[in-house]
Formats: sequence, C-alpha cells, structure tokens
Amino acid sequence: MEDPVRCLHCSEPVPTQRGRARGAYCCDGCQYIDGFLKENAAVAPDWGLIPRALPGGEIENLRSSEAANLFLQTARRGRGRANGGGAFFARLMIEGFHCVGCQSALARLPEVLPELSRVEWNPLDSILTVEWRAEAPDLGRLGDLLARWGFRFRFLRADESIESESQKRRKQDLIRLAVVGGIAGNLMLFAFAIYAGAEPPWVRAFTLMMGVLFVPVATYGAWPFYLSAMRALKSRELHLDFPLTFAFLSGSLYSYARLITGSEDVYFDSLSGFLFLILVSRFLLGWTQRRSAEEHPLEVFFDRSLFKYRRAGLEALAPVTELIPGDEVFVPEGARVPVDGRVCGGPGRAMASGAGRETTSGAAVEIDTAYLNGETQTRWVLSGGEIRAGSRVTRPGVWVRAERCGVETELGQLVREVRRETHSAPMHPLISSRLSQLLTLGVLATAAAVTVVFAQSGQLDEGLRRAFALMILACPCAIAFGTPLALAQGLKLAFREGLLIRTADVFEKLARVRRIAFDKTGTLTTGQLRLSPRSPLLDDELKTLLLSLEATATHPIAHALRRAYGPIRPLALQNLVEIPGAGPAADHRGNHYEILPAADSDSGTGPAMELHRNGETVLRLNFEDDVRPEARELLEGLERSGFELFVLSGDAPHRVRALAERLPLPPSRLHGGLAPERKREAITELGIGLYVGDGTNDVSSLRQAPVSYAMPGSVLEAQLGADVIGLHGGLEMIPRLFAIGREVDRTLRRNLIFALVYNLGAGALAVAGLVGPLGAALLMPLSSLLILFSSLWLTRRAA
Amino acid sequence: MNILWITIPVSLLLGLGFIAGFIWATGDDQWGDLDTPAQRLLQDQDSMTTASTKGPHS
Repeated sequence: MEDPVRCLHCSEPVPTQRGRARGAYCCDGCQYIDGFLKENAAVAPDWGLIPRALPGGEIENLRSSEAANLFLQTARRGRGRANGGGAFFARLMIEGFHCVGCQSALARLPEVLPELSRVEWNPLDSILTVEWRAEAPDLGRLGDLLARWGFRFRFLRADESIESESQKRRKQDLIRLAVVGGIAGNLMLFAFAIYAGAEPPWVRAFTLMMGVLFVPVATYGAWPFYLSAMRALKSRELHLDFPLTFAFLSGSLYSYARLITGSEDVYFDSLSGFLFLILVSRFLLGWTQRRSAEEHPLEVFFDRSLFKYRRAGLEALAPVTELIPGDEVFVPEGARVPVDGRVCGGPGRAMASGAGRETTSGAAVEIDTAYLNGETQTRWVLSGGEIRAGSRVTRPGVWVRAERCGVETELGQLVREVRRETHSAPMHPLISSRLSQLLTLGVLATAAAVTVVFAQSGQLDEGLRRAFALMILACPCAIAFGTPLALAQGLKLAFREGLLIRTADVFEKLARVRRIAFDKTGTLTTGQLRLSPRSPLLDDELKTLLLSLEATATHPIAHALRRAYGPIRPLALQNLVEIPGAGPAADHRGNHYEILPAADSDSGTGPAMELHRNGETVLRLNFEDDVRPEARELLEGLERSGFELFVLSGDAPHRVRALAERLPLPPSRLHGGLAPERKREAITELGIGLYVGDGTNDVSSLRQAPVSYAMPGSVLEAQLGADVIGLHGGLEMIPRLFAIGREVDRTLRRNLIFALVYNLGAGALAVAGLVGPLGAALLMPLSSLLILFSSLWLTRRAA
Repeated sequence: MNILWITIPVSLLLGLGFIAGFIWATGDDQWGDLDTPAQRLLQDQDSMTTASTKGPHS
C-alpha cells in the first residue's frame, strides 16, 4: 500500500487536493505553526516540536491571517454570563501527563501570559483549552512557553476529533504494559530458579540472562517515567514520578554494577515487577476514569430507557442517543420527551410521514415544561406544536417528530455545558498535591540520610538496599490519584441521583455550609396557585365568563382558575384583548368586563384578582401559593442537623412572614421584599453557605453564594448560574446533596489517612531493614489498589 | 541439566512470540470493539455489510 504524504507538523495525511507543491502540510495552520517554530528556533532551542524547513521558501505572513483560525474557535461561552460576547479559544493536546503536579504548572499559565483569560485542563483526553482575552490571540507565545516548560504538545485543528489521539495513546500504554509484564514474568522464572538453589554456574548464567532481558524494561518500559521526571526537573515542580524514577533508575544501575563485578545480588526481577504493577494501576485508573466519562450524560438523564420510534416506516426501540432528526418518537404518559421536535400524533396513531396536519383533537397533549423554563403550570400542545426535550408529557402519550436530537437539543446543550466544566479538573492545586510533594521530599531526604549513615559505618550495600526499599514503598500515588478519583466518583453518584454538579470543589465547600437560604416562590412553595378555599361560590355563568376571559392566558392565575372551574366551552366574547400589566378585557352582552390584579389581602399567601363590570367590582378572588408538601419535614430535618435556615424572597413581606405559620422558621429569619441586588447582598451579610433558588431574580444570588442549588424547573439562567442543578425531585434533594458531600469527604479522609499510615509504617519497616526491595515492590502496588477500591467503593456503598 | 540449553531458549522464544502477537493484536485494533462483533450475528443483512466494510483501520 502506498504510504500517504504526511504533514510535517502533525503527521496527518496531507489531502491530495492541497497538492504536494505547497509542501507537506495538511493545512495552512500546520504551516503557520511550523513556520513560527522555525522563526523562533534560536530563542527556544528546546522546542518539543522539531522545527523543519519550509519547502516553499518564504514564510507568508500567517500569524494574523485566517490560517490561525483553523486552530482558534470563537464561542459565546457561558450563555448569560457577565463576560458574554465572543472569545477565542484553542485546544492543545499535551502529552505525558500523569499527575496533579503537572497541572499546577498549567494553572500558572494565565499568570505568565496575562492575555489568557481562562485555562481548562481535561485530563481524560489530555486536552488543554485556552481562552484569550485579546482580540488577536498569539498562538506562538503560548507554544513558546509550553515548550520551554518541557511539554510536548500539538495544536488541534478546530474540527479535529480527539478520539483517535487518545486511542493511539491507549494502545501504546497497553503494548508497554504487555512487554513489561511478559519480561517481568520471565525474569521471575529465572529468579525463582536462583532462589530455589540452582548450581553456581547456572546462577551466573541466569543472572546474565536477567541482565539482558531487563534492558527493554529499563529503556522502553520505563520511558514515560523518565520523561515525566525530566519534566519535573525542568519545571522545578517536584511530583510523584520523580522519586519512583529515581528509585527505579538507581536500582537498575546498582544491579548492573553488581552484575559486572560478578555478584548475583541483583534486583532485576523486583524492579520489573514493580514497574509492571505501577503501569497496571495507572492503566486501570485511566480505564475507570474513561468509563465514567464515556457514560453518555443524556442516557443517564433519561434513565437509560428505550424509546419506541419510527424511521422509514419501521418501528423499533432505541436509547435517546440513537435517535436522529426525522424520527417519530413515542413518548408515553409521564415520560420525558427525548428530542426537540413537534407533536405529530396522539397515542397509538402515529401519522405516516408527510401526512401533515390532521385534525388536532386526538393529538393534543398536556406537557409540563418545568424543567426547561420554570413554568410550573402544565400546558397543552396541539398537533404540530413545538415540544422540547426534557419536558414531561403529563397525558396522554404522544408521537413527536424529532427536529433536533442528542446534544443538539437545548437540554443536551445544558448538560454538555455543565459536564464540560465538570470534567475540566479544578485548576487550583489540590491540597493533596502539596501533601504528596512534601511526602516526596521527605522520602528522598530520609533515603539519603539512611544511605549516608550506613556508608559511614562501612555498610554502603545495606544502606542502599534500605534506601531503595523506602523509595519504592513510599507511594504518594495513593494521594495523587485517590483524590481525583473519589471526586469523580462523587460527581457521578450525584448525577445518577439527579444532581448535576458543576465542579468538584462543591464537595469541599459543602462541608463548610452552616447557613442555608431559600427563595420562596417556586422553591419553598410550589409556585402553582390555588384558589383560596375562602373564595365565594360562583354560579356557572360567572365561572364561564371568567374562564372565557382567561381562555388563552398562560399566567398562574389563569391556570388556577382553569383548575378550579374548568373545563368549559368558552363563550364567544367580543373585543377580547389582553392588556399587558393588567389582565384580559372583553365585551359580553353589552357589558364591559375586565380582570384586574387586586391589592393584596393580608390573609392570603398568594395574589388576588378582581372582576370588574363596567368599572365596578363584582367579584374578588384570593389565591394561595401552597408550600411544597415535603417542605416542613425537610426544613425540620435540616434544623436538627444544625443548619440555620433563612428565607430571602422578592415577594411581599407579609406573604413571606406568613410562611412562619406553616414552616418551622422564626419570623426573624424571613426576609421579604428583597430586590435581586439586595438579595445578593444579604447572602454575603448573613454568611449564607448554600442558596436554593429557581427564578430569574435568583440568578445573581445563585452566583454569589459559595454553593448554590437551582431547583428542578428553574429558568435556564438560574441553572447556568448555579453550582448544583436539580434534575428532578423537590426539596428532598438538598439533604441528598449533603449526604453525597459527606460521603465524598469521608472517602477523601479515609484515603489520606490510609496513605499517611501506610507511608509512615512501611517507611519505618524499610528503614529498619525489615522490608527489602522485593517486598516493597509488592506492597506499593497493593496500597495503590487499596486506594483505588476505597475510592470506587464510594459509589457502591452510597448507591 | 543439558536440557536447559533447549528449554530456556524455547521458553524465551515462546514469551517473545506472545508479546509479538499481543503487539500485533493491539495494533490491528483487535481490542478496539469487544461488543459489536458478538451482536453482528443478530443484525440484518443490510446493516451487516456496512459493519463489515468498516473493518480495522489501516
């Protein structure tokens, strides 16, 4: 097979239509980067990428041209956020990351390059996303810096998929694992023969053989560790791989030295076993992380249910991820709509494609769009009407023709937006990484001290043996991968329970929450109005008149009236108009009627309205805004757990105070009549740790509070501003959130304590000479595995 | 003990053979998808052709 021409920069095949005359670049972008590298070769001699000569001669002025746009993407990030507007961002694939230590170097990028506004590191795919403040971003400056820091990287084209790259790396890891494992097994065989008492000439032969077999382990097998240790040295950022590499390398050299001097006291077997186990635990870690990341968020949201759909006249079942635009999907009563689309038929009678508008009577469907826009009232959608993914079909089941599917839907966008932030690991260096650095330093210092002490008493060999054992044993990996894994598991668990958590630091903040503030309407109350039981009884004529006036209205009062008096056949009213800010008005049998909002009654918990005939009040109705049924018990539970509860509401103060009668809240903690801005200030003044809200007027408060929770059914802005988004359920999700937070916290503590105890205990044994390098090579991966299971246990137990 | 002169090289060759086999299998994407091949049997003729034309990537 003919080998395709490969791009000089990115090694991708060069498309034939670009022609070979332009040189072997797959795109202008690669040419630009490579050209830039060549230009700057003198300034940055240790570029991770090798600058090559441009075959075409002169480098065009590419820096400002659209070529750079191949790598840059513009986006309106964070819909509804203060920093809206366009921003440039680019993605880079960075190789060789293993630990938290490296991340802290990346976290400093915005400090060094002030034009960067945001840096996100996705450890799963090794993708760094960088966002620029500047109008015309300079990719070169960023590249220069990264190269100087010793990273190997490549800019990703705007449309480039990352799947193939990470797959390639996974394969390489697997092969390395196999090679090291195979050789380690063979080395063990020889070692067993020696331990079993082989005759001296055979011992010599076996030892030599082991020395030969060990060569690929020490070179190819340990290569990633050497690279990582080099990076550690370059960036002066001490991390876990450093002592591991140091121990491995000095152990290997020591063993070869013994081999040459004719001694049989070598560690080839234990060193290769040690390396193999480390590679295995890393591979496993990557695998579990990938597994949790690959789980399709939408599939989880729809509880992995299968939907009946029609495509090209055939009916079948499929999960939400398999649906495509054009499909007709059946949504049973009570289920959530999986796609954005249009109602196309009632239960059991999907229309043939293209059959168009039928009579609407059978195809009307009642849906609850609370999840998307916070409207707690259900509404009816007729055939052909739009219906959004995430709405719940109240009754009856309905066929929907899909227009947008999966991540294209508004729901998908929201979930994806949040998930992307979630998976970009927190860039602030974790406490555990600082701890592991301390540990590393301590281990190296102790090892050096042990060697020196023994050397002084003439026992250099024994000193070295103990130092190796110590270095192999001490495993900050436990801390380094235990923490991110436990956090990832916590996020996954929360999501499964219907809590979409934006960033992992929420868990840390939750532990500090003492005061919780709630919004009133829609949060503590259902937000769904009900006609007051003390309302006057009406005759049918008046009921019909009221409902006819409100026939097309969608506001809460209209819904409450329909629930109380409907359904009816509307009267034919004349001159029916909806007056914004007031209500509907119309003429009927020579009289002019209008519905107007009334001044509040002191008794009601909701608003009031009046019906006017020819300017005179003929009827006054009060409405109640019911407290959520679970609210009382829930608030009592939170109080018992030691939280101080507050209500911050924009609603009229007397209505907020009325809550004290129905909820276990002292009136002093009920604050009403707060404008959004005032609410936000109150959060700071009162030291609120968790704010629970749902509406547009809560958005700034949700952003202000250390942790914020958007109720299911919140408006989109509130959801985007909140740290935690409720996907379903009511207030009872709040104790759940705390429970998950505690569970994560407990796991983190358990890991940390275990790691400390293990390191101190095993370290002492090694220094005392009770554990040799072989024992250490067994103990170390065991401790890693234990941490791994401890972290994975989190989801098991809490589930 | 002379038999060792045969068994040791044989065991080494076997070991290397397995490693080489594994490297080939990984490179050839044999572990790429462990689920679909088993289900391909159940698919209709049409979709089977599309599945089989996909093949391991070159």
